[in-house]
Amino acid sequence: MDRLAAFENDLLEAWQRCMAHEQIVDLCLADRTVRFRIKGDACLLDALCHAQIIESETPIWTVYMIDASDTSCPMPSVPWTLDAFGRRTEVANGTDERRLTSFNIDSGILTYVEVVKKIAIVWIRSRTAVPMYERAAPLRHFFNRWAVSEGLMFLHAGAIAQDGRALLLAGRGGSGKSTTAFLAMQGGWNFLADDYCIVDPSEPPVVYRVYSTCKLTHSANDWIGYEDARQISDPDKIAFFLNDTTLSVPGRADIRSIVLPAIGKEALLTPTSAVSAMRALAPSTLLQSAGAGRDEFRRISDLVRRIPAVHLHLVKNRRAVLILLNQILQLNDPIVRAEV
Amino acid sequence: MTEMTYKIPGPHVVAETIDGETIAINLETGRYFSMCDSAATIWQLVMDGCTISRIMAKFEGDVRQMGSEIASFIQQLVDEGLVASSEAETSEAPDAMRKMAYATPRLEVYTDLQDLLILDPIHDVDEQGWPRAKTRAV
Repeated sequence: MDRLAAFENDLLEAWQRCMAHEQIVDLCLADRTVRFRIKGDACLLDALCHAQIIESETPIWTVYMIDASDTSCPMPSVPWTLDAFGRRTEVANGTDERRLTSFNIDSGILTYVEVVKKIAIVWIRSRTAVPMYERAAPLRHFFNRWAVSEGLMFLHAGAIAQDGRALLLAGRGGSGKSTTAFLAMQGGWNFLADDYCIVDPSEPPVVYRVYSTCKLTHSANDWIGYEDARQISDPDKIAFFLNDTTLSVPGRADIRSIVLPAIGKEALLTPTSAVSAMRALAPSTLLQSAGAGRDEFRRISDLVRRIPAVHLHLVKNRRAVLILLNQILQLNDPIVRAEV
Repeated sequence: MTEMTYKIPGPHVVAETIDGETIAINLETGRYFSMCDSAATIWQLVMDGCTISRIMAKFEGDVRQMGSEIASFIQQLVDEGLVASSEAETSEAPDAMRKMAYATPRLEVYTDLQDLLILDPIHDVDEQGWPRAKTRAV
C-alpha cells in the first residue's frame, strides 16, 4: 500500500471510529446523485440545499464529511512535509490522476477525492472558522475533480437563463458577473449561478446550477438593493441564500452565448473572439481549482470554440442592461436567426 | 557547442492556441500570458523542440535582429517559468514549413489573478501536525 492509500485508510477509519451521530443527505447535481454522510455540523451544505432529494437507492458518489470541532474527532496526522502544500491548496504528494488531496489553510478544510472508488472525504477543522466565501460556495475542489471524472466541467462563471436558454457570464472577480446575474434575476430571468457552475460540454452544451447563493460587494448592493431572508457577510461582500421561490425554476439550460461583462461608459454589446472568452474563463477557473491542469484547459478551449461570445458593457441602468441581455439571446437563437 | 532546446517544465504550465493566439498559464505563479503572430509561432516551434537557429530559419527578416529578439523572447519564457532547457533531441520536422513574415515577438503578461493563490502556504504547524494560518490583525 502506498503512502497515499494508507492516508486514505486513516481518514476513512477515523471517520468510522467517530461516534457522532451520522446524517445522510443526498443531492442531485447535474442529473447525478451524490450522497453526503455527515458527522457533526452540515454547514457546508447550506448553499446546496436546493439540490437535496429524497434518499436515493443508487448514489454514484459518496462524500464522508466531518466537523472536527463539533465531534471532537481530530484530523489524522499529515504524512507530508510543509513544502508539499501548494499555492492552489493541493498537496503535491497527495495528488495524482486518481486522487486529489487539498488543504485550505484559510478555511481549515481538508478535501480528499478518489475518482475510481468515487469517494471523497471532507474534514472541517471548525465550522466557526469557515469563511464566508467557503460557506457561499463550498466544496469547490471536490466538485472540480468530480466534474472531470463525470465528463463535466466546473467553471468559474455565472449563468442566467430564459425559457431554457442560458448565457454564461465569464470574467475575473469584479468584472460584473454577479451584478449582471442580480439585475437579470430582478428582471425575471432564471438565476443559475453568479460565480461557479457545472457545464456538460455535450452538444448542445448545458449549464447547471450548483449553489443557491449569490454574492455582491457592499457597494454594488447599495445600488442593486437586493434583500433576501438569509444573508452572511464579510468586510468585502454579502452572500445571499436565495429563497425557495427563486430556486423553484429549472436549474439547467442550454448555453447560447458566453457574455463577458465589464463596467463601461454606455450600455453596449460588441462581439468578441473565442480567445477572449478563453482568457476570461480559463485562467480564473484553473487557478481556483486544486489539481486542475491540461485536461480542464483543453475542455474550456473546446467549449469556447463552439459558443459565440460577446462583450457586455455595463452601466448603472437596469432597463438598458436587460434590453441588451435579451438582445444577446435573440442574436444567438437559431430560430430567430433563421427568420432574419 | 550544441544549441539549446526547451520544454514545458511540468504540469503547472498549460497552454492552448485558438485562432492563432496562444494563452499560457503558470499555475504556480498565477501569471498568465498571451502570444500572437510571430510569438505564437515561436512558442509552437519551441514546443516542437526547435533550436533558435531552426526557429530563425522559419521566418523572413533581418537575421541579426531576429537572432537577438528571438533569444530575448525565449529568455523571457524561461524567466516566467513557462519553459526550461531540455536535453531532448533537436527537431528536424518543420524544415518543410513555408517561411513566414517576421514581427518582433511579444509576451503579453497578465498579473490580475495572482491574488487567487495563497501567498504563503508554509505556515505554523498546530498540535495535530496540520498547517494553520497565522492570525490576521483586524
